[in-house]
Order: sequence, then structure tokens, then C-alpha cells
Amino acid sequence: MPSITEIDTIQSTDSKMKKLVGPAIATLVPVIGFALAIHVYSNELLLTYMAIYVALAQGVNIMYGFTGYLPFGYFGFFGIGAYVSGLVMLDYNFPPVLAVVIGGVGGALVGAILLPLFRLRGAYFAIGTLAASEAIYTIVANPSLQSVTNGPYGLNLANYYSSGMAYGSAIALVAISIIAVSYVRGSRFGLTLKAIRDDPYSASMAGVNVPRQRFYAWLISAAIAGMAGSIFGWATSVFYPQAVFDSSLSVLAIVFALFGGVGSVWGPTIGAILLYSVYNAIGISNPQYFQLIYGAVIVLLVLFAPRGLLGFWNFIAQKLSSKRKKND
Amino acid sequence: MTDSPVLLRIENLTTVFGGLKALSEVSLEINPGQAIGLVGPNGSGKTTLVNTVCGLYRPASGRVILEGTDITGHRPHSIARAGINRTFQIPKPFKDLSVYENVKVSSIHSRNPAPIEEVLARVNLREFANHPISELTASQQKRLDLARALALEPKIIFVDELAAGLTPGELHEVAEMLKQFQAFGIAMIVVEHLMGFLEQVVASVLVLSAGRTIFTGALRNALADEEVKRVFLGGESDAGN
Repeated sequence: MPSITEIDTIQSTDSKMKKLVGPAIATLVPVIGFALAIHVYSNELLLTYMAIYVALAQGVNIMYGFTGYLPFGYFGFFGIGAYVSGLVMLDYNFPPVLAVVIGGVGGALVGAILLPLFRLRGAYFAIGTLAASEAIYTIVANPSLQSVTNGPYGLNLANYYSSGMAYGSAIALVAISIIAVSYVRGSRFGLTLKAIRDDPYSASMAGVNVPRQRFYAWLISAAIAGMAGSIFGWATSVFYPQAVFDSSLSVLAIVFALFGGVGSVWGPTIGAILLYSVYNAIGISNPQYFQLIYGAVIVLLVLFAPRGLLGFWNFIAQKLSSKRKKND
Repeated sequence: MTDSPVLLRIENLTTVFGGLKALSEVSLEINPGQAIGLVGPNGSGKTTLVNTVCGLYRPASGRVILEGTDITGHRPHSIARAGINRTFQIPKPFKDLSVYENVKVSSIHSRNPAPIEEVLARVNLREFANHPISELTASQQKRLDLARALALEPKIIFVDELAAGLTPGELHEVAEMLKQFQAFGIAMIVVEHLMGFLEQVVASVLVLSAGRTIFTGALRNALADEEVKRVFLGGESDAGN
């Protein structure tokens, strides 16, 4: 058994390796995959949406995987991002890429405004975020705000449409979200978040300023959703408020993250790519059975892989390893 | 700040849950390196007192003063960083982290972190540093709670039923450990039911019943006190008082 000094050395060498090689592979594989995919599958918009869902699933991962708070109202940040970036493009003629960044800032600002929701826990927090996002939707889509948000008629960004640029930005966002998760996972901040997830009061007696640490995770997660919404709006070009303030966006992002395995770097990426592919394949080939098949997939996931694909993989690997040890 | 030698002063602390007064005007003083036993039947308010001092509950009235500074109602992490810490009756390790990482969390957030290696050695968990929590016994998990507290270089620790469920050998080991902490100047308030264990660690006790202080003084005098005997042996119902 290694001594503590050795553990420190092992952990520091190990973390240095992980800090460089692990995140690099986890980032480059999907980025290169998306860059090549366009040469194999020509539906660029669908690939853009898929990349957006990878980023959203990673955003959910930071929030739920590392703090245990399930953000059912995650779509609120997405919608705000779409609107903030769309409006700065339309009203101030901002270049789209800069508008995407501003959309992320918009998402983070709304995240800061919704901070009091952290007084709630568990299902109450999930429902609270859902209600808050519905409230934001109601405000944005309100006809009396037509002069500002164009009310229920949405935004038309056709003049800024550039499918290639939007796709490139979506791939960049995938990279940003994976790097963010890798940082959180490998850092002291991530260790602190895991402690909070296990027991917030116990973590506070370990000297952790729990609300502040959660707030940082919440802001990162909200900024990712804001940028994802911005790219969605830009790539879609014309959208109505109900398209970007859609609760199914949250549901899908959460399901994708859980399917792959939260708390990991790879899980949400794999979950989003696999399930979004299945989602579209069923939707195109058997639209009449869509809800049935997709529902069955989720039930099977909950029954047989509650910790997601990566959790299932780790379970099998552990079994094989202990069997090998016994044989030795 | 004052020149008071008292490390922690609890003044008339009262905690109310709805209509129930769980703690009623409890006062206590403790000096650096001193150990006081906190005893009482189940429901007497021992853990409520710990939770209130450590910031989990906000008191209805009264004050908590650490080294002359009023820290009443401060948030738990501020209280922990100021030098008050605790263990839990049911241990609360961070289950997804290793033993080493559990202590590292405290170390990261300490104003004056103690070396993790040294902390683990002080609670006899050094050899378990890279073990997952699932491999620890309940007694080891309680010591891990203690290690997390020690990593923050506390001035005082509330030790909540550390001895429960331990074998006689483990009891002796834990008692020796607590005495060592005292020797380092750490004050302790030991919440305990086992009088034999308390005798090894503390000289004086505060006895609670139904949230009220019914005795303060030497442990041997407490064992002879009529009211203490009535509360422990006479079947007095705490809920009704």
C-alpha cells in the first residue's frame, strides 16, 4: 500500500496527467468527430443541434453531477441566451460570435438573479427553477413587451444566417463545455462540489462556503446554456419564444446527461450523441412509435443503468477486475 | 475582543422549533484545552445545543462568544473557520471521496491548514488514506469526521457520541486520542451516554433535561445528584417537559 507522501505524488502526477491528456482527448474526439461528421452526414442543422445538446448535457452535468441540484428550468437560460444574442445582433448589429458570448453572459446574469432558488432543495428546487423559467418565458413573450422582445412573434435573424459559422460555434461550445467540466472535475473546486453534493452541512463544517461554491457552478452552467441558446437561435434563424423557452429542452439535456453518466467528462457527451441520434432516427423512421420507443429506452436506462452508461461500464469493469483477482 | 481567558462562552442560549422550546437558556463556559461532558437522556437537547452553536440552527435568544467575539447566528462555514468544529452522532463522511480527499476538503478551506498526513496519523487513519469510505467501519468513519475537523485547526470540538458502538479496546484508544487533543490545547465538549468513557476524558459535566440545565459541575458529583439520578433512572419523560 502506498504511503501518504506517495499518494500525494501519485495524485499530483495523476492529476497533472489528467489535467492535460484526459481533457484533451475528451475534448478533441467529439470536436474532430463533429468536424468530420459534416462530410458524412449533410444535415448540418441537425448536427448543430446535436452539438448544442452535448453542451447542454455538460452544463447539466456541472450542476447536477457535481452539486446534486437538478435544474428542470435549465431552458430559461437557453431562452434568455437566444433572446439576448438575437437582440444585440438586431438592435446593435453585433457580430454573431460576439453575440453568442453576450448570450452566455445573459444566461449567467439570469442565473445570478435566480440565486435565491438555492434556498430550496431536491424536488422543490427542480420545480422552482421550472416555475422561474416559465415566468421568464411569460415576460419575454408578453405582447406588451413587443417593442423590446417582439413579444409572441419571436426574432428573425435571417440577415445573420450562416450555417457554417453557427456549426463551427456549436463545435467550439462543445469544446468549452467539456473543458469546463474537466476543470471542475480535476480541481479543488470540483472536490468541494462533490463534498457539497454528498452532504451540504457536513461540507460547511469542513469550512466550505456552500452557497458561494454552488453559485459558481450555477453561473458556469447557466453561461453554457445561454451560449447554447444563442447558437440555437442563430442557426435556426427564425424562432418563436416557445421554441427557445421549451421545457423539453431541459428534459432532453437531463436525460442525455443521466444516460451517459453524470459526474464524468465523457458520459454526457456519449449520452447526448447516442440518444439524440436514436431520438432522430425513431422520429424519422417510426414517428408513430416515437414516444413509446423513447419512453422504453428511458425505462430501461433507469432499471438497468441508473448511473448511466459509464456507471454500467465501471460496474462491469469492477466485476471483471475482482474476478481476475480471485483467479490470480 | 476582550482579555477574557474563556475560549467559548454560551450565554442563555434558547432554541425553539415551532412551539417547542428544545433548548432553554443554556449557559456554558470552556477554557482552552478543557474538556466538558454534555450528558442527558435522549431528547434532552444535547445535539440541539451542538447544532445551534455550530450554526445549523439559529437561536431564538442568547449568545455564542468565541474568544470575545460574538458569533451568534453566523453561518456554519464561518464558525468552522473561526475555530469551532464538531463530529456527528451518525458519521457524515463524503461518501464519493477517499479518506485522503475527505480531509483535503477541510484543508482546502482552512485559514491555517494542518498537514493532511499529520491529521490522519492523529486519528489513526493514516494507513487508510487512499481507501474508499465504504471500506471504513463506523468507528473509523467517526474518526474521519474528527480528522476533517482537525484539518481546520479547531480551538474547540464538539464530539458527538464518538464512543457509541465501540468495543472496550476501541473506547480506550479513542479516550487516549481525545486526551492528546487536549494536550495540544484543543477544548472539547463531549456528548456522551457512556459514563465510564466520560470518566476517562472529562472532569466536569453539564447535564441537560428537556432542554434545561439541571446540573453543572464535577462528574462525580453529578452521579450523586438527586435530580440527575431522577432524570436518568426515574423515567422522567422529556417530551412532556
